[in-house]
Amino acid sequence: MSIQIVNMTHTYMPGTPFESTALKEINLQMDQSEFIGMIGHTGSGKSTLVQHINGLLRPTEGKLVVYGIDLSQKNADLKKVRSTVGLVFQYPEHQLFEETVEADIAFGPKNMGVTGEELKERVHEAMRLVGLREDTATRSPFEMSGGQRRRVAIAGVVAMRPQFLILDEPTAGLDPQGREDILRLVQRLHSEGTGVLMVTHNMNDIARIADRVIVIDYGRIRFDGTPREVFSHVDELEEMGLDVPDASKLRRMLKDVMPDFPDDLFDAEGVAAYLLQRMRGDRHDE
Amino acid sequence: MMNNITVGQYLPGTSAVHRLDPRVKILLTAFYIAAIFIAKKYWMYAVFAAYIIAAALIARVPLKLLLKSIRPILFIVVFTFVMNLLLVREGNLLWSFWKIRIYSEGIHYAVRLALRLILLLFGTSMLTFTTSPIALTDALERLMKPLSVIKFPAHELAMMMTIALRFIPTLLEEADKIMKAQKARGAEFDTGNLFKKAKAMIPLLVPLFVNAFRRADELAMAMESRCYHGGKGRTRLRVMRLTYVDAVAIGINVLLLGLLIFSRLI
Amino acid sequence: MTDLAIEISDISYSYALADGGQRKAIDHLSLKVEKGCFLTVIGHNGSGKSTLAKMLNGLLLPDEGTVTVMGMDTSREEMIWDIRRQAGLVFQNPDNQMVTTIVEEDVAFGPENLGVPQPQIRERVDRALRSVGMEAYAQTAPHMLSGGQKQRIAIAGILAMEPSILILDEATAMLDPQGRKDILETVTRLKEERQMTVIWITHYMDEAADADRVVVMDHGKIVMDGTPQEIFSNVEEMERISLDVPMAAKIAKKLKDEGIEFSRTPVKIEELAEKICQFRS
Repeated sequence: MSIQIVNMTHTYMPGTPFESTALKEINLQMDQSEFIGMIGHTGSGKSTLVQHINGLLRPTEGKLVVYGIDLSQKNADLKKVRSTVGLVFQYPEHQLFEETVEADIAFGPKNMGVTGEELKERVHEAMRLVGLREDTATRSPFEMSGGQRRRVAIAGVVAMRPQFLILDEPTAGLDPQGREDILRLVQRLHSEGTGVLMVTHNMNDIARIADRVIVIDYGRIRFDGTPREVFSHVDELEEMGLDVPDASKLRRMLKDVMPDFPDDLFDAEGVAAYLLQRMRGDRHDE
Repeated sequence: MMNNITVGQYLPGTSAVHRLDPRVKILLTAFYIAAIFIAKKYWMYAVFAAYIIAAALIARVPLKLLLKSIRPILFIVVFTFVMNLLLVREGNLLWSFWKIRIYSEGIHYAVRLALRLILLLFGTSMLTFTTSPIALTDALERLMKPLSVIKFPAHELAMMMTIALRFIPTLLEEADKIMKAQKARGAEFDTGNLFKKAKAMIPLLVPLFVNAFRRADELAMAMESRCYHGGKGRTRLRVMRLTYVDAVAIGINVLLLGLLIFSRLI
Repeated sequence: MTDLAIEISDISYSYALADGGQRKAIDHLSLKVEKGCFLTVIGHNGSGKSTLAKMLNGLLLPDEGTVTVMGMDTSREEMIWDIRRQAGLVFQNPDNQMVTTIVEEDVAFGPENLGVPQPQIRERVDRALRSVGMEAYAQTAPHMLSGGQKQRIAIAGILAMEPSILILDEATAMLDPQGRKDILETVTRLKEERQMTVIWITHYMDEAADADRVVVMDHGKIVMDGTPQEIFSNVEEMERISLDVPMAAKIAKKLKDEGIEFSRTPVKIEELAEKICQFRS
């Protein structure tokens, strides 16, 4: 297993009046082969959790092992962790600071000690992976559009060649086209061998592209399974203040008339095909 | 996590001291500062100390906190104390060793100045402990309004202060976020010598400034669209009205003034 | 008096670019909005919809053409404060439109600028906070609030100016689903209670489902204009300008292609379910 979390708890400001438990007894295993979606409302502890995996926060209790490095130990090699697990924050374009796109993308690998030809190669590979044209390399990131700036920021993490990539709401604030572009880019990285953990609020997207969904609520893991398993709990999810995929809603509304509505259909094509077959069937029965 | 940051040292409360009109509080603090520098008799300092401690007790400000407020200027207090002790050459020579000579007046000067500085800190801390920054800003604006005759930008200054206070928590939170994001990219903020450390701040400061400018731009737009056009013709939600609490406070201070004049005459 | 809240005739607007060139943000656009209408404007980033929003209360003036808001031409300088009072604008970033450190003082900011007498400001602030369900937070500091709560305060700040038109420029773009839902419900309710005209600008297609009218912008022009049903039944056109359509409309379109047609295009998933049930009975 690439990432192992055993009985992990995190408390902010322990021993002060502001003490608050953000994560409670988390048990989780994640493998590089997976594309995992993580959902939960704002303040549920998702961000706290992903920051642990990158070594930005230390567990108050419990064990956290990332690619063989035990992060519960004081002297853990954080540099190694951060080059193995990449973390893309929410609105990552707000952290760009260099004068050119290529300089900004090079920041991460340079901090890891990569220089010369290899650095160049990594920057260009990252640009290719996120779909930035070669001629944008010398442009200022501050002159680019929002969607493009976000790609530059993601490239900055991709250039560190992480084996596992964590993205905190990578599509927040983007328009439909920008959203689709980023999702495709994440899917491409996954197909090239990178493990993916993506925090998101968009249930239609995550149901469609993830092969595992984790639900966090009040610092605890409430559900962990395939989209099909997790989204069969429509009522519980809505109780937590979470959205569910449209297909799951439709399935619940049609449960009396179409009890055999499959629970693994999440895209418009699949649902339409099923409905078509059922509705045609009905017509023939008459 | 960053939500717990309070700007200034304001301790919310509903005591009589809290309820004082902030304008009155500012003026009384100004009077108090002038008074401790005019006073020369030690018993007068005791009176002022009693006055401040009484105010702290009424406002339920822990005395420990009041004492702690001296900490930032402790060095200056000690430094001026020693300088006065060594440099004043008046009164009787009490003690001498090598080039060091200590005179009686030197001791008086040193002690007086130290007491004044400590009392000064107590007084101004009480003001900030019991008055919210926004009330202070507001009161300052109103007190300085007459100065607009000589084109003094009282309203503009107050608005700048207000916006600064509003955005300090936001920017701190943002700084924390950017710092974490850069750390995730392998940046190190706390290693190496001073020069290296300063250089390491660039990835933090550049985005912080870029975002601050963007925010300023958007805020200006939002203010304009909410009909902001300077201080002219502006009314206020917050009413500042003098109450009996203010009258009592002013009364006490008139008494203090009497004592002060008396102490300088005898 | 006409029954139009907004009348835009043939406006164009270009931004100056850093390299000396120009970029056309609005291109010969005309639009009439009736009083009391809930109009949703959709379009991708850079389609000109934010520029349009800023034209509606005189933050930007068109290079060509005229914008008339509640009978007032936005180019008439002496009326600008009246126009901005009538047409309140809520922006995208909840953090960057709050001015002071206490919620109720922030809500009071608009009326204070308008020179409303103090007792009335108090009344307006209290009423506005109640309208958005935030009266319990009157004394709170803005940075302690969630994104959705901040936007509700921003709306209250506009309401306190007692406007006839409420414009929301992607006010939900930075919020989580719960926050988005809250804001949409609040605005829908306010529109009914106060008979306001609402201009709701967004790139979330599902937020357009309950609008009276939807306008689609692309390259600074209005390319589609109709009811949500009309707009979302035209899946090909929406995809051509790289916009999404809600899931329900997408499914309905696929069914239609195969010969199963509903009388009225469903936009919400509930409507689709209803249609399917009706079809079966």
